[in-house]
Amino acid sequence: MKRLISITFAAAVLCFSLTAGAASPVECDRECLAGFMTKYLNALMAHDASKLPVTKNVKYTENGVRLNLTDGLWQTASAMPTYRVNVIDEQSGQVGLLGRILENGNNNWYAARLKVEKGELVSELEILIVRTISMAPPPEGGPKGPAEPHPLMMQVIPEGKRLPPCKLKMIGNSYFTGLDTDNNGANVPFDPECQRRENGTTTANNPDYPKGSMQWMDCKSQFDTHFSTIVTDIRERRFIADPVTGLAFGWGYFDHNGSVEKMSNTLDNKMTDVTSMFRQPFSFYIAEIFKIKDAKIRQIEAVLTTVPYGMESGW
Amino acid sequence: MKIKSFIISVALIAGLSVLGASAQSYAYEKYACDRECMVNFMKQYLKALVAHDPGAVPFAHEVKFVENTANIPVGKGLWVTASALPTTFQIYAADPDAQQVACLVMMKETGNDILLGARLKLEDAKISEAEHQVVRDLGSSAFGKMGLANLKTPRPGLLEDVPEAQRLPRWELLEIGRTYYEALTKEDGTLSPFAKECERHENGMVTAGGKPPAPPSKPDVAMDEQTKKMMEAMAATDPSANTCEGQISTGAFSYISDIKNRRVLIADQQKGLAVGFSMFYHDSTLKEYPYKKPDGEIEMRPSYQGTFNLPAVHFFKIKKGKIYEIEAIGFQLPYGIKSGWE
Repeated sequence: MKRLISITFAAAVLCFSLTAGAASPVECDRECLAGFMTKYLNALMAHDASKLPVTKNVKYTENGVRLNLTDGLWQTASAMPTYRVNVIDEQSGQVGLLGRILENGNNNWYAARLKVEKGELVSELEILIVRTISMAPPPEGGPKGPAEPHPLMMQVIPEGKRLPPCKLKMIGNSYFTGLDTDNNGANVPFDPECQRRENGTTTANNPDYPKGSMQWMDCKSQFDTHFSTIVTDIRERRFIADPVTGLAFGWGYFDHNGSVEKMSNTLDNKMTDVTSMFRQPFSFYIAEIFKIKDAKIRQIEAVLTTVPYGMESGW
Repeated sequence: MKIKSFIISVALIAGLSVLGASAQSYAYEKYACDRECMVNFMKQYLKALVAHDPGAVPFAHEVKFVENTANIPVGKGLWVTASALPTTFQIYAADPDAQQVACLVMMKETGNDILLGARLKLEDAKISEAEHQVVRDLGSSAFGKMGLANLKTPRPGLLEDVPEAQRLPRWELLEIGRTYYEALTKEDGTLSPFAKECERHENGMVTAGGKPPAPPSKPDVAMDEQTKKMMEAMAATDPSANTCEGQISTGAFSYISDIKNRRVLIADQQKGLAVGFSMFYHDSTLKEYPYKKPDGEIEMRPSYQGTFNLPAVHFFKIKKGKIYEIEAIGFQLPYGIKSGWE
C-alpha cells in the first residue's frame, strides 16, 4: 500500500507540473480517435479484424485473457453497441466505450479501450464483456436498470471549467484508494448527488430502495459505512480521461481474499456477517467511468465481471 | 508404508506425520512415497489448508501454486478461506511413479460447501507443484444445487481396489484417460472404451448413463436462458443414447469447440483410476449442429450459445480396460483463459 501511495504522490507532482507547462502534441484528435472506435466497431461487426489498422505487435485482451484478433467477440458480436458512454483521451491517444453489445442473442454489458499510435495504428485493444453465462446470476429483486446512460454522463463541461486529464485521473483514483486503503469517503471528492450504476443497476443514491439500505445511500455514505473492508486490494489500475466531458475511465481488478468475517454496511457501523459471496477468494475485473463536475464525482457508470482470484490483467 | 531409496539426512519437516512421526519428521534425499504415503501426504496437505498453515507441509524452494488458473503465492486463496476438512465425500488417486497425487473432495470454505479437485507433485518429499480447482457456489447456483445429493458419498466403484491380477499398466490407464477427450472433440463415443454401465457425474449431477436431472420447473435461483436451453436439451436426449458412448456420438457436445491443455497425469493402478486435468473451450461460433439419432437420422438442433472456458478435473475408473465411472468437476471462466500449466 505504501508503494501505491508513493505512486499516487508522484502522479500528483507530475500532474501539477504538466498543468504548469506545455502539454505534449496531440497525434490523434477527438475526431480521429472517435473514428478509430468506429473503425474498430465496424470491423468487429464484420468479424474481420483486417479492416482495423493495427501495429504488428497489437495486443488484444478479452476479460483479461490475451486472444488473437480472430477469436472471442470477434466471432460472436452481432449488433453495434447501445447504451454508449464514450471517453476520448487525446493526450494519451486512447479512446474508450462503455455500453451493451449483442453477442449471439445475449445482450451483454461491455467496455472497450483502444490505444492509437501516431494517429495511424491501434496498438492496444482491451475489452471487458459481462457474459450472461458468467458465474454471477443476474441481480434479483430491486428495480430494473435504465435503458440509457444517465444524461449527465455525456454532457459537455464548459471550457472554463474543464480539468486536465491528470486531475481527472487523480480524482478517479481517489475513489479506488478510498475503497481499498482508507475504507471511508473522507478523501474522495464526492458530490452529494453522486449516483452509481453497475451493470445497469443503480447501486448508490437509488430512491427506489428502502431508506437506510446500501443502495439508497449516497456514494460517500456508502464509503463511510466501511463496507469496503471486503475489498482487499484494487490493483493494475489504468486510467484514461476526457476533459471535454469530465470523464475519468478506470480499469482494474478488485480482489476479495474472502478472509473478512464481519463488516459494517450502515452508518452506525453495526457489524454484520459478510455474505457468502464475499467469503470466498475471487476478483472483479472492472471498467468504471467517473463523471467529474466541479472537481467532484457526480455520476459513476461501471461494468464488472467475476474472474479468478489474483488473475493477471494481461497488461 | 514403503519408502523407496531414501537416505535419512537431517531432521525437520515439522508436523509431517505421513512419515509416521507425529511430533517430528525427517527430510530425505531422493525420497519417494508409495501409494499410501502419497494419499496421506494429500490428507496432511488438506489439514494444513484448513489450519491456514502452509508451514505444516514441506514445499520445495521453487513451488508453483495455481488456484482456478491464477498463479498466486502459497498462503493465498483457499489457504485463507478453507474452514473444514472433507468428511464423507473423498476420492484419492496416487501415482508413486509420477510422485503425484490428486483428490476430489467436498469440504468447507468459510462454512460453505465447495468441491476441491487438487493435485500435488512431489520432488524429494517436497511439494513442487500444487494445483487447486475449486467449485464454489454449490448451494446458491442452479447447477450446484442439482448435484448436491450425489456429493454426500462417492460411488463405491470409485473407491474399490482392482484385484491385483487385473491391474492395468500405468501407461494404459493414462492412454485410456486421454481417449475421453478425443471422443468428446471428435463427436465419436467409440473412440473411448466405455463400459455399457458407464455413468458420468459432473459436479455431482448425473450427466450420462443414469437419469439426467430435469431442469427445475421453478428454480429458486436465477438461471440464464442459455443454461436453461442446455438443461432442456440434456433432459430431452433419447433414452437409448443416454450412455457415455452413445451420448457423445449423437453430437450433443458439438458446442465444445476444443479441449486444450489435456494433462492426464496420474494413474492409480491399485484403484484403476486415471486423473485428467484439462481446459474446455466454447467459442460459441456454432449456431446449430447435426444431432445423430440412434436410428441414424440426422436432425439439425440449435447449439448452446455461450462464450466461456471451463477448467475440468476428471477421475476415470477403469476396469478390464473399460471406463465404468467418471467423476468430474468444472466451472465457467473467461473465454480463452489459460490453465496456468501451459
